[in-house]
Amino acid sequence: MVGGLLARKPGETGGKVFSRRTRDGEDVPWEKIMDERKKVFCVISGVTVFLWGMFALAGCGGQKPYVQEFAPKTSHEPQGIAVLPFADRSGYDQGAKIVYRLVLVELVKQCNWRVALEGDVFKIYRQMRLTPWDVPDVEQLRIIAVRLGVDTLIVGEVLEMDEKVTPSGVSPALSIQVRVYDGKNGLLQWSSLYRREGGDYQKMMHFGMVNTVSELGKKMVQEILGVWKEKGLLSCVDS
Amino acid sequence: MFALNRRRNRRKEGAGISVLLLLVLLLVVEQAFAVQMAVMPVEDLSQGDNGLNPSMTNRLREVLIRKGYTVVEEKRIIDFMAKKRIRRVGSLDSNNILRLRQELGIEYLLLGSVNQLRDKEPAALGISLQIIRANDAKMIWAGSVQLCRADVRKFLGLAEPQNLSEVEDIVVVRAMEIMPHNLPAISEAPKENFTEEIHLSPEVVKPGETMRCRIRFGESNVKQAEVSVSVVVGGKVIEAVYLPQEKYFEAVWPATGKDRRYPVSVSINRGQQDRKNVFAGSFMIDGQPPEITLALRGQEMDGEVVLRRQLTISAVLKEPEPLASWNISILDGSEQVVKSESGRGNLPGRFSWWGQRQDGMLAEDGLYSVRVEVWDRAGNNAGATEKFRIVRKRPELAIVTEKKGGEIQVDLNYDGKVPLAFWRVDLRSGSGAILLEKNGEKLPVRFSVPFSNENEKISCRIYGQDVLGNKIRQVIENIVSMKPRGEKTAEQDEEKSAEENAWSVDF
Repeated sequence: MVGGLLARKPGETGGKVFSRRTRDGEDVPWEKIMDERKKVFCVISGVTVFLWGMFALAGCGGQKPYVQEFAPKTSHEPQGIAVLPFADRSGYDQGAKIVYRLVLVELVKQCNWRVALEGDVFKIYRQMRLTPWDVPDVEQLRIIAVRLGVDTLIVGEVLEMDEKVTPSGVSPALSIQVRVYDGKNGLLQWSSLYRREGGDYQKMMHFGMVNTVSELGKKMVQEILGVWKEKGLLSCVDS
Repeated sequence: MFALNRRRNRRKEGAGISVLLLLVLLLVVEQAFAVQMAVMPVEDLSQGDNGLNPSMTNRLREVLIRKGYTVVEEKRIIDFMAKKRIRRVGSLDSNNILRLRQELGIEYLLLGSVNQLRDKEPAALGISLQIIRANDAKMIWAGSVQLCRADVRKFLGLAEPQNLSEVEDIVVVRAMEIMPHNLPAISEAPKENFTEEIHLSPEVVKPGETMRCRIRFGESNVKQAEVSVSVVVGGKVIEAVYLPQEKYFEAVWPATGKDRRYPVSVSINRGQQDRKNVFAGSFMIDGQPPEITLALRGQEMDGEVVLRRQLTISAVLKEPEPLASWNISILDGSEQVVKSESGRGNLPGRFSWWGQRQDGMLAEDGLYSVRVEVWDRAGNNAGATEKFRIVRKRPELAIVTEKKGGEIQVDLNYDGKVPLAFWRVDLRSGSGAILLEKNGEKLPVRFSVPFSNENEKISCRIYGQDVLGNKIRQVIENIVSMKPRGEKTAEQDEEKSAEENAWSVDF
């Protein structure tokens, strides 16, 4: 190993040759010291490259859902949440409904929030003569919130949903936008935009690979809700 | 000895009956305490809108029975859905859940949906499940399971699912694993947030028209005498009256005031402790009819819009507002409707009329008018009319010949109202050689060609187009045999009529 003595190249200090002396009193020549240093450098750089590769493969460096806040943060326990029908801009058959159901499930699963039933939401849409792809205006949002007895409304859009079957596997892609409105005044509170592909979750070889849009949607919704909780936008209900 | 055996047998029989009775009792007790669950038909999103997956429904039922739940018979669920006219699977509203509880005595409800189902390789299945507590219609648990055949990779491919059916088995097992083993206790005091249904109509009214607000309570045991309902509009309180036949409260009031939007809230009073104000929506008073302008785009002649092939009509509201309906009519000179069309909602960006009557035939030349009428959401009516002319008649060129010495003199004339854009004449010999070619924009014109004898054949081709685009093409096989100064032979008349039939408006 390289000792505490500073090793310098011959000639750098007026031709005086520096070397290291071992406990046995033997002088270790300059070339040998440099060889040892090279070995250590190679090992460290190898380990660094390996760790960096693992880090990248594990997807730990991946992006998080983008969240934009439109109102001052007021962390509150929502009394109830209603998920309004998602609009589908992707052209994927029933894409909006798939994501809608996954959002419902994750809301109940993650924090035991009181989530309005899909049947109640659609019933009010029918009563108000709104089509599922309509985005309600401020007044309609207030009415929906009051009728459902909730204070938070989630409105979303599926921007892209695709599932390409290739010889090497399935490559799903999903892009969603989720907006959260205050049911009391119908104003936009915050919004999230997120796009992921199945390969983004790949850890190594086939491990972690996501092969279905529904699995991808589930993971993405979990991540979006996770970020909301992390930022203190929504807090869990204790029950 | 005999009596002893008989006594022993009796004891054995008695013990057997006791054990049997105990077992029956245990079974009855278990059944009595087992949780009553209803499995609703599973929606299958892979089959499009309102698709059904009976196979998954049966699998879930079987698994729940094995877990010890008392599952309501499928026939009873279907009968209930038919009775209550529930056409959609995959979701149920709170009132229907409460009715389901009352009629079938269920405590919990399982709603499932197949979110994704892929038959092709690699087979994949994704389901989501919701458990709803029946007495307060609260979703108490939800979960989703997804599996693709490509997700399962095992050493040497052992025990990997081979087809969709095996994927289904794994998905159902995983779903049951994540489902809670002990469902939460039944809440004794159900919330009644969902029990009001409020209908405010109409959305837009003319001043003085009647507004109605109907409030219906759901399945809660509301005693109407203990509840007072009122509607608050612009500070005024209007008491709602209970209509026992219709089973709802109704408040009726005349819409008075300036043209603007009015918020409406409903006050529900169930005693001192329970008083609730609910925002019901708003209505708008609109007494002003919309103002509409019409613009016709087509060819123009002497300041008049002329239709030869197509007329584009665009109707624009001076102050845009949502419309309830519209009507467009084309009227002839005697104000008779020759074509009409109507629709709901806003006006289309523009209309195109190709000059066809309602029966599909082309409308005759003449003066016409187009009228567009609109009705806004309050029923205010407005209309606008514009005139135009249809001119499809082809230009008629008159040709007169006269033989003078060794040549034929040809006079070409035009006396139509629509100015000519251009004309062209060529005269050819019997062998097809061009003897003379003339063209220009103005008529009349005179020209002459030499000819040697009466048997010589000179053909004449006339082309022309007026400024509207109506075209003429006339072929006279032999101008030598034509009678001078416009006198026509029978052959020429026949020839002319044949040519007329062959002419087309556009070629």
